[in-house]
Amino acid sequence: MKPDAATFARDAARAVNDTVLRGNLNHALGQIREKRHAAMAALTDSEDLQQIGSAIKQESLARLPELLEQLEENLTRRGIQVHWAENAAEANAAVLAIAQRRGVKLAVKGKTMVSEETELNEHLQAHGIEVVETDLGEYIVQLAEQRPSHIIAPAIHMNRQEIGDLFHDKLGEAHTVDVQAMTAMARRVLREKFQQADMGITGVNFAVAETGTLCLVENEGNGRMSTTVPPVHVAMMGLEKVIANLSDLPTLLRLLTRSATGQVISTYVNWIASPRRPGEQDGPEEVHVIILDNGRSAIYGDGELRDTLNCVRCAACLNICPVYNRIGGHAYGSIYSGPIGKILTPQMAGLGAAGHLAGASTLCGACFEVCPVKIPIPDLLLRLRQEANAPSAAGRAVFGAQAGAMRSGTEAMVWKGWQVLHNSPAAYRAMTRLVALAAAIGPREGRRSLWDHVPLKALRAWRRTRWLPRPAERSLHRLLRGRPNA
Amino acid sequence: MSDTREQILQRLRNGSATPLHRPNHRAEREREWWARQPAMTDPAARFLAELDAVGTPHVEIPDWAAVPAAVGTWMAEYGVHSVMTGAVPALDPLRQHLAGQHGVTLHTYTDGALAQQEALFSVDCGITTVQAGIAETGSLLLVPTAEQPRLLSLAMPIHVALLERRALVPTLAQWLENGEYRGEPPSNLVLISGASRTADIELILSVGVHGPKVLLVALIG
Repeated sequence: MKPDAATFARDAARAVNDTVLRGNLNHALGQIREKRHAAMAALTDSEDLQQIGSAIKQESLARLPELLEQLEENLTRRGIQVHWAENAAEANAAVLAIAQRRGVKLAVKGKTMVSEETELNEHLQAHGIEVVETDLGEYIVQLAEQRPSHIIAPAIHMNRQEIGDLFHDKLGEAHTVDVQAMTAMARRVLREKFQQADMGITGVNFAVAETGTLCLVENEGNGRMSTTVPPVHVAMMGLEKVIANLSDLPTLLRLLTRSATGQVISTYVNWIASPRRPGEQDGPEEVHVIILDNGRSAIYGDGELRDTLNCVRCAACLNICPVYNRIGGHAYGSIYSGPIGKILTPQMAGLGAAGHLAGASTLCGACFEVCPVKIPIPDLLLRLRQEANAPSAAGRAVFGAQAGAMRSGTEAMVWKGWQVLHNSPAAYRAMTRLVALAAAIGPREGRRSLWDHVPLKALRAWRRTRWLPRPAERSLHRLLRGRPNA
Repeated sequence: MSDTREQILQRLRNGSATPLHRPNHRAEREREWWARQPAMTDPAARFLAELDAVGTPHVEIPDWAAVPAAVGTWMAEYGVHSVMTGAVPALDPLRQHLAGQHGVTLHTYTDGALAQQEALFSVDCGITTVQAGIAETGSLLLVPTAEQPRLLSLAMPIHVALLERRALVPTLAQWLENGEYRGEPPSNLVLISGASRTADIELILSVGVHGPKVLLVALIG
């Protein structure tokens, strides 16, 4: 996936005009928003709890290097092997090496966004390993040869008719639009895969440093299957997933499941602390944890941007976002979509490649309101816009050569002119007179005017659905001058 | 790989010199928040209400002696033909009862799981005891053991969970405060709050994806 600006503009426009997609998103996102709202409203002072969640993540992040070492020590002591990966390629190589050593032919996956980030499936498949997604939504998008369009509901962009067609085509099942029947089909197919699999791959929701516990949150049971049935379990985590203490967990769980699905708790909360022990009858013989950086340590170095790493991937910001609601996840061109994607992707992929995503926001602030760990997304969007448009010399260290990557000479000149006009009363008065004159030839509703011929693409696009406001023939200054008491 | 580790950690150490940029009064806030929460007067009532909220059938029975009859009734009601338990002494009376129940085959999860994996996936019902119950969320807290492995609560379409009333705690935080996870942690611990479910198609709830389609809870005592 390449999150470049031209592709984004094209795909966003396409999505906005796709009435089926818009219907699917409206239907599903409306429900998920209501569920979240009801679950949070049922708590006394939920806003305070969000602040506490934010504080917990901040405290853990403040001690991040120390906590990662503590986590590693505790995991290793109990026989869980820890691998560090600088980037996606290293993470994929680490998983492949484990798979090849164990002679893995089939890997089943629980839901993991980090593996989407590294494009692990493609890497393993290129080396002859079959990879099967087992989260129902992930399985659907894998069958459709697509990528997830949502962090927790990967197939939210599809309706049951489309999924019924897909199951009919790919699984040879009788066509149905009955959701229970489709779920049963997936259960039948995937139960066999769990039993045949040589490796299970999952993400991690929280890694507790104090006890060396991996916490996985899910509803379907595929995460439990993937971490229980195959002889090898590989868990992939971004390095920001570590929290200090087990006592931090109840509050974060309370926030995560309510924010994500409106549940007071998800059906399964799975704590893993070691491989199968002597005498135990099931569970993996080997457990590995891949700790991925992929740009996170650079984000970490900036006190303001660090809040990005608070994220617990609940997707509440996607569900509430007016932009996500209209274009869905695929248009963003990056696996992290919606508000969190708009701040995370430019920081990971660079302002040159993805700085435009920070512009895809109305700055309405709804994402900040619902965020269970209070990431100030609007502030960070503004910071990224500023960085992306800064004169390169003024760019702050964190973005290096990327600072000013989106700077446009024309735009800078327009603003410079604006500044000059508004700094000088004489120039300002002259401008308002000119504008008032222009009103005479200006646009009127239902009538074409000279404005229609202004050869500016941006202006034409804007005019397609709007009338330019008609300037008053006398400015406020002139009107006031005419008043007796002025 | 160890170079990577050191490089990542070094960058983070350099970065962590950046101080917290907002004051953080977490401890006070957390204390105040909890003080404002309504007290849980009847944990058992809350627990059962939460089971109801996610559609988990349950019975309340006076003691362990009543378990065989209650479970036997469920076996008939849900058309169970094969059932599996772990080799747990507390379940002996139940196992004797089930062994004698017409049309029900009793299995024991004693041999290596992989050797009998196919069998595991073809049994109708798994029965387990439960370490604790979390009232606030209606969660069963299971710590799988050699006698009652993980798949007993996962592989079979029906899971019967036996929970003693005295093992109910109001919240997960309370259970942790009681020190239950101190010392060497178990290889696996799982909180189960209902039958396996998904809403991945159009947000429509569908019960019974990969784990049990039915969860039945007996609250004992």
